Amino acid sequence: MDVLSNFAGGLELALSAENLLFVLLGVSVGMMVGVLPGLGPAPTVALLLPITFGLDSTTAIILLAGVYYGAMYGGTITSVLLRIPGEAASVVSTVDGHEMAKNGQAGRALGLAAIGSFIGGLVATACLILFAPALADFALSFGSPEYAVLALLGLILVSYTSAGTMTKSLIAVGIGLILATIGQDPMTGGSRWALGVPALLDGIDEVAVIMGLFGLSEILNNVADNRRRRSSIRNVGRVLPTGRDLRENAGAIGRGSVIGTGLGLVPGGGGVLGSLVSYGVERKVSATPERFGRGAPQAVSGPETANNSASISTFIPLLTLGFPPNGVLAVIFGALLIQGVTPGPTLIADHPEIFWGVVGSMVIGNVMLLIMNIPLVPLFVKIAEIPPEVLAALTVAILIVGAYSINGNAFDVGVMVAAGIAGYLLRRLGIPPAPIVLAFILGPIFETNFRRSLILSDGSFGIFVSSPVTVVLLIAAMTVLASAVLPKVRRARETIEAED
Amino acid sequence: MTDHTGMTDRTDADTDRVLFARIGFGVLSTLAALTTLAAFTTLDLGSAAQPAPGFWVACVSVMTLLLVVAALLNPRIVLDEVSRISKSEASVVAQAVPLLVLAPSLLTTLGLIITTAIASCYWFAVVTRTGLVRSLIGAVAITVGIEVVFLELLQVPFPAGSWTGVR
Repeated sequence: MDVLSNFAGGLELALSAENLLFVLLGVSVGMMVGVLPGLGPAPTVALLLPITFGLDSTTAIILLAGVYYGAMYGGTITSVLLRIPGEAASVVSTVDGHEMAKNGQAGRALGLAAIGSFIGGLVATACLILFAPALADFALSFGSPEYAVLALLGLILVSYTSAGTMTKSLIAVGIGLILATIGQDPMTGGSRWALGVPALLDGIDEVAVIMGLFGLSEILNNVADNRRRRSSIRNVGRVLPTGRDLRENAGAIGRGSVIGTGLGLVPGGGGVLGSLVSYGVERKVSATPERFGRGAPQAVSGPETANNSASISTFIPLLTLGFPPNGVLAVIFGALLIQGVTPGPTLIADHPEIFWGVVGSMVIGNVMLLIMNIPLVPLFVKIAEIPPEVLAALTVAILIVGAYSINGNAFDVGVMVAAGIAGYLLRRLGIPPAPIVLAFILGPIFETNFRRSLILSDGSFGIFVSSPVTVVLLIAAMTVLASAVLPKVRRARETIEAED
Repeated sequence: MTDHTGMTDRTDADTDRVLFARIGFGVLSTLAALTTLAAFTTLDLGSAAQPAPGFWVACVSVMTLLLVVAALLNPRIVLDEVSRISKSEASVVAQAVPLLVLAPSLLTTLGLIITTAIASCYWFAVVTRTGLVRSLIGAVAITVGIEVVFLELLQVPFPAGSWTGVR
């Protein structure tokens, strides 16, 4: 009953005029971002951070969450019609989705993806409602060693699931952790590596770093593509799926919901991993696997369901453990900190309005997206044709103004620019930005709990294997490391990646 | 030079890519080594029982240095996902960098509105080589949009430019 009444309260909060407006704004921006190739949900959420400064904390997170799951819906449109994934989680749909479009079934692909995403979104939201409070209660028993080991596991998992070799992702983690040490020592409050610069005494502003690493580096990375033009399939056809379509895809949508929801909980997981695994599973269980790659509807409905459900279930570790499992959630973590709210096990008890308001908004947002998706496809195709140079110029202007608006000083703009140029060069060296951001955000938490644990144990590292929770987490971390290092397992992983 | 199979071009591109990766990881190794040195020489490390501010920094910088050196010594790792910056890309990015580097100074001296107009116009005209008329129209549209959202709707208290007195 508690859960139901809390959920009803959350729905009521999300249905207030202001929040309803920001749900609509969030999912609309998310759809556009999903449609526009080259600007993923993480850079956009980073771009929108300055806009949230003046908002109530619940409204701010409602807006940013809407952008994230809205992008999952939007990404399908360009994948199917243009064969260009608007964002990474929709890569899988470029194959079968576009094949369906070439066969005059674009509307069918988009309709199935929209309905699958809607169902997946609701399943993940239900899990958020049912399991998040229990997980938060469990996490209340965590001490410093558990948090330190959890941070370690999270960073290892994020490195494991990032693109490229794990060594490079771990280097990215190292860079993020080092950057996080600049400024105030989190335990003594003393200055560390401020280099006599007053603006560095409080450390590097995380919003400026995030905007640079995700936003500016993305723009610089794509700047050479600015004159490229795209052609699209304009004949969308019937979007609403038939009863037969739904029956044939019910299994794929059901499996996609479970896979996406589960993988969203894993650090480093989220939409990309969910859609890839769902595609692999659908091909394995299909009676006609030879149709995959030639326009199989289940190859669109399953992965698209999985990426949306994963984008919602990723909020469970953030809102219960205070642990951002991927880059987008790291930005939302930063947004909560700016609002004076520390994500963690006490968030649901201390700020129920944020948790239940966001949950309520997810239900409403998914309904809005379903309604918008089907009739507005032609409009979003037009958005995808916005000249990239216009988008790039607008983004650069927003980045400069947004970084300036953090504290009203130009130093943050300099930090954003430096992070952007460094991020661009690191990307070209194969070092991904997401682990840098996650490590930068998690760095102070990791350091504080690591040092506190050592003080508690009088310098004994045995404290990190002193409880069942830390042992399980360490075994998981070691297993992940071993699977990346052992050649046999590594080759198998590479084969799976190549197949996907 | 290219033979009829295009082999020479491919070999040149591969050599450039290897060189780019090696230089990049060389710079990273140097930075990681300097960070490690600075951690050990400028910060108090304390002990395992009483870790001081430098303890964590030392652990993290040593780990990073080891990883960077391991990558540098392993061609498979160092070349993974490396995408060399072509001359045309470098030229476009080089045109963007002056604007980005000057942006903080422009904001403090000229204020937000004029800086946004200059930055947008520069980006259109110089970085993406858009025609002058389209650049001007685009810059005006973006500046008006930024002013409406940040100054009028969100009421963000931006300081005025020291030279212009305009926000």
